[in-house]
Amino acid sequence: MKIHKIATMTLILCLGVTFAQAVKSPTTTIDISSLTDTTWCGAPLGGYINCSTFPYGEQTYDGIPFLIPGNAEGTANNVWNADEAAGGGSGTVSITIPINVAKVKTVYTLMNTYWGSTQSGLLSLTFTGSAGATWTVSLVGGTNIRDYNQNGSTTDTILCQLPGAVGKTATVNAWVNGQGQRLDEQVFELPAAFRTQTLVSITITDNGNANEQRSFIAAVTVSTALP
Amino acid sequence: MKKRNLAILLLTLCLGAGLANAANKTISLASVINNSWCGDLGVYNLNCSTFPYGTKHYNGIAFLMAGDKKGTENNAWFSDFAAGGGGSPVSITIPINVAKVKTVYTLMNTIWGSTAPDLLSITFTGSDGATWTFDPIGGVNVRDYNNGSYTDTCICQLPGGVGQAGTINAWVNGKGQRLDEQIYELPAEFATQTLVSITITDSGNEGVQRSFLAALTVSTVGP
Repeated sequence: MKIHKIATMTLILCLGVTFAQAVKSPTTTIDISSLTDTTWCGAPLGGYINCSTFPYGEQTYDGIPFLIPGNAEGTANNVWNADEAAGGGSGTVSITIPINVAKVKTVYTLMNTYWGSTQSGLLSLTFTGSAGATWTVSLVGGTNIRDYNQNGSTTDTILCQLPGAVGKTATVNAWVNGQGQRLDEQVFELPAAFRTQTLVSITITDNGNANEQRSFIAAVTVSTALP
Repeated sequence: MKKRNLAILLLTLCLGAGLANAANKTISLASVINNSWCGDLGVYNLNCSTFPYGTKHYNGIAFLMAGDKKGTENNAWFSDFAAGGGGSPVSITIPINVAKVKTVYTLMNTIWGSTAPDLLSITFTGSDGATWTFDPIGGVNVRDYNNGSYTDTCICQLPGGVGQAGTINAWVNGKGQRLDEQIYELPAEFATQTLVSITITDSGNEGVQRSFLAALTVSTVGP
């Protein structure tokens, strides 16, 4: 009788978990509109090249949904641009994006740079959990992040891989407009400690400069599944 | 007693389904491989001894590459070697026989490289009539294994939907050579059939483009 009850309870749990996995999408798009500071066409230096081709709204890249702020009229901000935040000057600028999603395993960002440099220490992301977990990743130009504009004179390469293990980061391409501009997708496989916590926030810190490297972020999506 | 047996049976099925969902299966290429890294790529003297063999994980996916430490065993199927260095089309059919495959991963690159169409195709055949032929294009889905003067770019994306393909990098040796990972998200009808085989047809030539295949893994889950 006891075995019968244990088997039945385990069966119910198993079916429940299977059903939950089947019906609940593991991904959550994060609305960063309150943090954005410019539009594609209103950004510094006359806006992004071919700015009218840039995406907004709900988009899916590499099988992952993203929510890019903005509207059809181009009047609503699309991105947080570090160069805009710094007023076109040097100095450190930073944003903290509230997340508040439990048991996150993977974070996806759409990030590129104005200009680009392979120098380290110009850009970092810090992930903060609800029970003390923290993870800071330095993104390096030419490896994890690159110039949004293919021009041959700054950073035109990315790793072009998936992380493959916890505590690792990689980058693949998300979008191109066929005219030389692009958005890339960074994939962060969080350390195991985050699986039992709520991912509270992500802080982006940019230490670049005009004509060197300044990052921008267009979207964040988190997932309770692995890449 | 009957209820107890039924509950245990269902539990076993449920747990089994959970395990099956996680299944990636590496496919042995032993029946088709025709040369070693240093037997074929070696003629170009491009660091062939650094190339991988055995079970490796790239981008979270397991791959099984044939070969041994001594380099005496074959590692891959080289279409240029299969064609005897000539210009005729060459082909291999790889037996798979795995049910409900959703995603196929290959480690494939080319010697030389061209952006011309119709030089390479891959056909997936199901047990109940499903077929899908995809033409990997140089500079998009497949590229020269050697970073140099031929095709150096790939799309660097994942498929994003059924009936689509993407390519990302798998391995680099830091000396200019690489292996790339093609990801094929099969059309939906394959999800109810057995993937019987995969046929690769290479219609290239020396000095133009010739593909090689080092590993193949299938998965019953999406990429």
